[in-house]
Amino acid sequence: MGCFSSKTTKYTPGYEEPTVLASETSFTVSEVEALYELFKKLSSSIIDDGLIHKEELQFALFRNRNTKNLFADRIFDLFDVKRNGVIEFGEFVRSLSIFHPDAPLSDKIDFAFRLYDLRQTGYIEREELKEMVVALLHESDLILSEDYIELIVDKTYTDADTKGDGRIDQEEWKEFVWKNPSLIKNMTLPYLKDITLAFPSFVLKSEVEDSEM
Amino acid sequence: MAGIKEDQWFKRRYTPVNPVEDKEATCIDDESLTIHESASSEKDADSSTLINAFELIGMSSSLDLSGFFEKEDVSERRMRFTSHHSPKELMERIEDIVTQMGFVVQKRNGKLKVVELHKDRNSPVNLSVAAEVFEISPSLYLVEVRKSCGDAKLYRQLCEKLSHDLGVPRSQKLLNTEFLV
Repeated sequence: MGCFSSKTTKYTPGYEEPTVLASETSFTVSEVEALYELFKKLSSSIIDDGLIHKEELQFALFRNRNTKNLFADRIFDLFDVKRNGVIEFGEFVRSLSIFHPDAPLSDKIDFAFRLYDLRQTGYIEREELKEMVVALLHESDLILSEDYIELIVDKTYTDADTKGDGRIDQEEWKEFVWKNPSLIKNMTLPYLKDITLAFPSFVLKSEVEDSEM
Repeated sequence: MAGIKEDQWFKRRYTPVNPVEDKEATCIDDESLTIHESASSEKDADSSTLINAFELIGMSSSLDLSGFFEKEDVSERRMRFTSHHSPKELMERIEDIVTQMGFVVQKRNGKLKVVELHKDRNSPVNLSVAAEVFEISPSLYLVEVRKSCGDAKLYRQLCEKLSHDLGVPRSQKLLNTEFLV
């Protein structure tokens, strides 16, 4: 056989072909391949099993595996489409695609709604909004009086709940975002437009596979 | 050689290496964000409004997935502090401070962009930073200073100076809660 070890390309569990993912998302095939490099990095940071666990997501966002955070939990839950407690490569790409600058606005608006619908009731309740404001203040080390927090939540809620039924539904959310487009600013990652530049290690990958020939 | 390059097999695997002149120069400028910004800043200009709760929430670092792509921790490239100065005063004073430090300032869509011109003409951009002001209440504002690329140490120095000169002193922060109604 020979003295060199033949390395079989082992893909991570839940791997999907780049061509398939490219056809169903805003990414090109090369971009999906570059994302695979990113995925491998993120999914092996704590538990090297080719899957992104919650701690690994926390680590990627905060450089601290133990930082528990309301928003990170929501992000994790939304990326974990199959709800099996881990993020696979396919799920990763499809979810990230929504953050692509070219992704449809309606997808971003929808994702944001589901993100903020903490208890997944199909509505953003007032308590949920307040909970998120409190979480943000805590996370940013900002102190505001209870009364003031109520004031902010009240005003926003009144503006958004146009039907006046005490909860924000998807339709009201859509209207609200149209009036305030900056609300979904965090749903776009400019990085995704040039991801192949961000991951030149993709070039190295080609060289590795060539040596198998 | 040309024949090999044409071959399908080669095309599939080959990625021409892009020689990037200066890594620092490939700054991903959040141009896509400025378009959204103008709509809301126009609205805020005429009335003294409370910050939208969703806008506040949207500022969470954990909803900022750029952490996946950045080598630096978010604290190395984004800083926020609160201030009692009005947005107009803040922008003017930030401009003064950074100009004194030798930076060049560009103003666009209510945001201030800071660029340091390096003495060596070959690498003109050494630090690129954007500053933005958000109203939390008529007497309390949030200033966000984001680095899009450049020297980390320089950025930290700039942030320290800005928050020291313009921010709410730590001791006062706790007292202020009673007045923020």
